[in-house]
Amino acid sequence: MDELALLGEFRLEDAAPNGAREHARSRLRAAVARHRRRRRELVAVVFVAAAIVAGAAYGVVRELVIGDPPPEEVKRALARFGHEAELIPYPRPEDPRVEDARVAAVLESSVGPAYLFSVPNARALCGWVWIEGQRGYQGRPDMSGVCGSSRETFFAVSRQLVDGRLVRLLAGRASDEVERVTVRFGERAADIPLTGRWFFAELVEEPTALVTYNVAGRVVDEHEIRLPPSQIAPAPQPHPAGQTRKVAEISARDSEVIVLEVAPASDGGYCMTVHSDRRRPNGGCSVPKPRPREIGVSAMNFGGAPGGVLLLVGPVGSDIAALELRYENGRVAPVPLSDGWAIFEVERADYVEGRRPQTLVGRDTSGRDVGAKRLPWATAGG
Amino acid sequence: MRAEAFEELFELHFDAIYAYLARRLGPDLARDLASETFTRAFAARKRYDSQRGEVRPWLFGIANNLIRRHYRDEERRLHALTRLDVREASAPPEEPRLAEALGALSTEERDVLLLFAWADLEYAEIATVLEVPLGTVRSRLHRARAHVRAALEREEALDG
Repeated sequence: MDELALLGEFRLEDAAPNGAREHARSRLRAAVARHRRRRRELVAVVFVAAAIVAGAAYGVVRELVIGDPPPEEVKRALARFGHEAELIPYPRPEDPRVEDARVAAVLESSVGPAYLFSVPNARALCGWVWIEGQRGYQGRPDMSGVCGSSRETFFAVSRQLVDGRLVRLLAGRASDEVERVTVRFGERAADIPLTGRWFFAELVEEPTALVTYNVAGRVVDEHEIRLPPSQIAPAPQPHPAGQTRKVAEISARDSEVIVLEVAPASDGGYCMTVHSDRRRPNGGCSVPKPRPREIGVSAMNFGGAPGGVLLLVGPVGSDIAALELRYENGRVAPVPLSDGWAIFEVERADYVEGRRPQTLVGRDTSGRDVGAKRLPWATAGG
Repeated sequence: MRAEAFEELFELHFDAIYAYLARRLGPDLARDLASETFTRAFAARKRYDSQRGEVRPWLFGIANNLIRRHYRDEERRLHALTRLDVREASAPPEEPRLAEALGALSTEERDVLLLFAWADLEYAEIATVLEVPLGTVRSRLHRARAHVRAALEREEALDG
């Protein structure tokens, strides 16, 4: 028996390029075109640099390939999905492990290069999608993600308007036994190539199902893709449905005056805005009306880490006449209420372990405890 | 190397690179990695020293480096092929046994054996691709072939 002769026949049927050449040729041409464009831009930058000495350049992403770590701005954006955006960071299992993030797939989409980053956390594996150059709040990379167990196939279809064009990106990860991934569009179907276990593709129309097959060609699982109307046309969001009024004002550290304003919201809850003359306002119209004994006060990183102010802000139910805050070291502080609303600054000295705020306790007019709320930093005994 | 010359190089070598990747990792992954091999080669073309030798080992070197990130995928695929029902899949009867034998090799031995058997590279070219001495290529190839042969013979004996 000649093992080399047997090897010569092994999986020969896989060796035919079948369209792979066209795919590679178009990617190579895109890379050549980008290279030429970059050279032209480089020439322009030399002239511009002479005129602009100091300027904030948004990160120019170099061409990334599979296995590369994400660019710094993406790492920073990913870190903010975890505890790093918070003034009192408290690690949680769903925090992205940014140091383990890698490019899992690269796509030359209709609006430029798009990347799928694999980002593990303590519980799951997540895929984060970014179309190069797309930025959202505060100029950070505008990314969408999907998470799941590595034992299962998981995916998401993101829809993003880029220069007025709707871009649909399918991103996901196949389970170990999957050999082939197919997307159905009604009666038609198209194979989506796997890059490692990940798959990433731009869809020119709305998909109806995603089907995975094993190496023998049997269906492993079939996922119907139902698009709720909210994903095609965004559902109406709650909005202010009445007069905005100022309910409270505090003087925070460095004499920063922080104001809380509220208005009734169209869904029966409240719109809440916190603002000062030093930072961007924070808040929104998704504050539910609390039940009589409920404490709707929660933490707000006003201004974000590291320089922001940590506030406890929100409404309390109608049975609550007084509110107090209990700290990790046993201290108790009254939290003033104004017309059923609280806005309270947690001092910087109390951001550290051993001093952190733990629980809010509500009392009725007779001084009886009627409700409590554990804060995110509460320790087991807190 | 100018961009036009590079496109010529792509046309000349794409099929061989793709075939090698597809036989090792399957067509889906190969489609992306073959494409990536050439975009990487294009990005690194200024570093390619034409005096150093043929372009083919250089391209297989890039492709093989990409395979290294997917050894687990390759092992998973080989494992799946060992369980393949050859009658149903109309595959050659030796395929599951061969897959098992390949899966049992160390990655270093598998690289050498498959660069030799599927990429048709000479010993010296494999040494360039893997950046190891020529003697190491010889010994790894010898060991890999012996392992595969022994595994096939063992299976044959068991089959009776």
